[in-house]
Amino acid sequence: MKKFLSFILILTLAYSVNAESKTEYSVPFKPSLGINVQGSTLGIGGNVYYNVIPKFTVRAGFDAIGVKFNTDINQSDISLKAKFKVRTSGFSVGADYQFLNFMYVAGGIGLFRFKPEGHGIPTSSISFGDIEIKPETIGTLDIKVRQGFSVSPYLGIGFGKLAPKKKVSFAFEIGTYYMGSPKLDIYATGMLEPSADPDHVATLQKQFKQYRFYPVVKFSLGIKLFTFNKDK
Amino acid sequence: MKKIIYIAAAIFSFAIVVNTGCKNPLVDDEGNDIPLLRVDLPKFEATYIIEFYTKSGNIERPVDGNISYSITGKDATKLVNEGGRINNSGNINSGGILSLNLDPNIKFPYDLEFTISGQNSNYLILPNVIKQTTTGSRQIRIEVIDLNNLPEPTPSPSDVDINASEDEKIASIPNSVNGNGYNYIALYQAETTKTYECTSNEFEDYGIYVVGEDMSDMPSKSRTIEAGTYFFVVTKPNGAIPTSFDIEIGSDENNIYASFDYEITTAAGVYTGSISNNLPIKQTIEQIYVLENDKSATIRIIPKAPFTIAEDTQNITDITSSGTINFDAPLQTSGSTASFKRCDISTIGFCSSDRKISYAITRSFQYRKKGDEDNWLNGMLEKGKTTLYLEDKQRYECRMSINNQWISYDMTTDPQDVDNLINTIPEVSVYTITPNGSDGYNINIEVTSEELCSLNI
Repeated sequence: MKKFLSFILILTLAYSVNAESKTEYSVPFKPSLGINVQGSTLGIGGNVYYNVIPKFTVRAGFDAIGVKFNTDINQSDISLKAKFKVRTSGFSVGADYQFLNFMYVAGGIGLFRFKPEGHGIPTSSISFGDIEIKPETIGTLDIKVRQGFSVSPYLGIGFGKLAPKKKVSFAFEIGTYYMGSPKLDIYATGMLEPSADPDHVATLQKQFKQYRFYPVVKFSLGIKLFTFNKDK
Repeated sequence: MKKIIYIAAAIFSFAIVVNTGCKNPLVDDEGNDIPLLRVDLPKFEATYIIEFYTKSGNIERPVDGNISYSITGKDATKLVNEGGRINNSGNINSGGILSLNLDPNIKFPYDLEFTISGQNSNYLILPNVIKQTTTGSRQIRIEVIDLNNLPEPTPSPSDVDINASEDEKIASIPNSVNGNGYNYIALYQAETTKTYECTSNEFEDYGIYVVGEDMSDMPSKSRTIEAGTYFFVVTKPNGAIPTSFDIEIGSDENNIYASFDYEITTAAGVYTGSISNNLPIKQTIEQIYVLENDKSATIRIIPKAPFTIAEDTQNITDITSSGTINFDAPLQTSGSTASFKRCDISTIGFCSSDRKISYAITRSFQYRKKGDEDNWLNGMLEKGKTTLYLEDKQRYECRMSINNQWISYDMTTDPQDVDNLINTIPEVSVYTITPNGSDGYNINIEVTSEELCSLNI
């Protein structure tokens, strides 16, 4: 993944540095309104943008994604089959400053929801002396993660253009939401009930503090819909 | 120059993204595993601590000598020890107790029934039928009769006639119930093999139980018995009906583990037992019999050390099934209040070779001041936690039964003693005492033990 991102970055930089020398605003600026269709680590979504003044665009949009996957949690004698759901969605407003023809900075805030949750059930009985402890006696484990802030600031840097000069533009953006220290909620039953003990949850939550940033890697296609004539 | 700045900015932002990949959250800074799962041992819906005692006059004392016990009846194979081993026969060491637990896969509502009996060449053990339909922990005290010190048989009873000689009747046994609604009346030993028959003008339900046999069935009115065999004559009071009710004991301080003995006297018999739990306590008392035309009862609760909670007696004119009898028991220390601290104790266990999960177990334990020969006091870990009143700056010894063996650890309420305790008890890896208000301590104990390396402890 790191190699892939590095490759994309180098390509984009190379393209952008090359493009810089060719590009200039040679025609009078006209405000424009358009949309961006985008795919990112926040999901699939879109923006409505308004290119207010030269180099400055405001935008509002929505992204969402839902991913489900299964995994096994094997710890000591206990094996759980865990079903994870990760739902990420966000309504964001922000502004981009195209400080170079091929590069822009993006900032904003997002009403951001990052909701990973997992439900674990034992896959088999465990032996306990002469008897078998049934999965329903072992219990279940539910883990939910909430981000620290519901409104999160966003900062990113982009290559290419969000607001096209002509009809269409492409942009690649990397950035991060600062979502605060994640909060863990654990619900457990049966023998797993102590996993939900507040002291234990606090210990785990401390370990998850490092996940304060939500990384964003975004590809965007901009389509200009309207141009406003300033003179009229 | 500009290009360099832009490229640096790009690399910086790229670094932010990549850095959020982070390290394994289930490993701490020292590289130790942080368990995702903290587990309890399988929870028993019903637990029994069974004590055998002998009585001489009004003085009770533990049985001197080993007892070979056996469990029979419908649910004999549903009873296990703390490690899940089926526990329907074995030996109890001199003065020891028997700990039984219901198979953790069985949940109430369930009609649990079994009979416990025992053998010792010097004693005769009164078998007891145990019935339970609701969750709970019970302490059951079973009387044994010292064959070398038999209670004098009273003159021939007028209530049950049996074709046995006066010499064959070797003891009268007042106030001993068998758990099945019958009262033991007298103990006999057959001199010759013959058919014993009993009749009664007074009782509708009575008969013979042979020692060592399952008592789930009705007693026999006619039975051929081998010479030398002990047998009991039992009677059920006319109109005796079973009842159950809840006892609630409230106190001025909650979440403290407390134990009470109870004595319930009805027209059908005298029933004793013990209840232990965190205050306030609510427990269903079962296997009580009353008479249809006399449902009155006297209920006495007697607190057990270390705290005296005012002893209380209530006279109830009508114990109805599903009723609740409330006791309000103010908590008082038995010694100087100032010398006791409320200790909120939290324990975590790790397997010594695998820290992938931690244990916070629910199990009963016993404790007493180190070096004292006093009786052990009962405590209960609930998911690794308990609250006890302990004397300040005092070392205690605690023990827990694991697979019929006592595993013992020390505990201290003296901060000055902590280093010494950790150094001398290798299993205790962390021990902290922090003040909790002016009159309490939080005690955190982490134990790393080989016994916790498998659930088959």
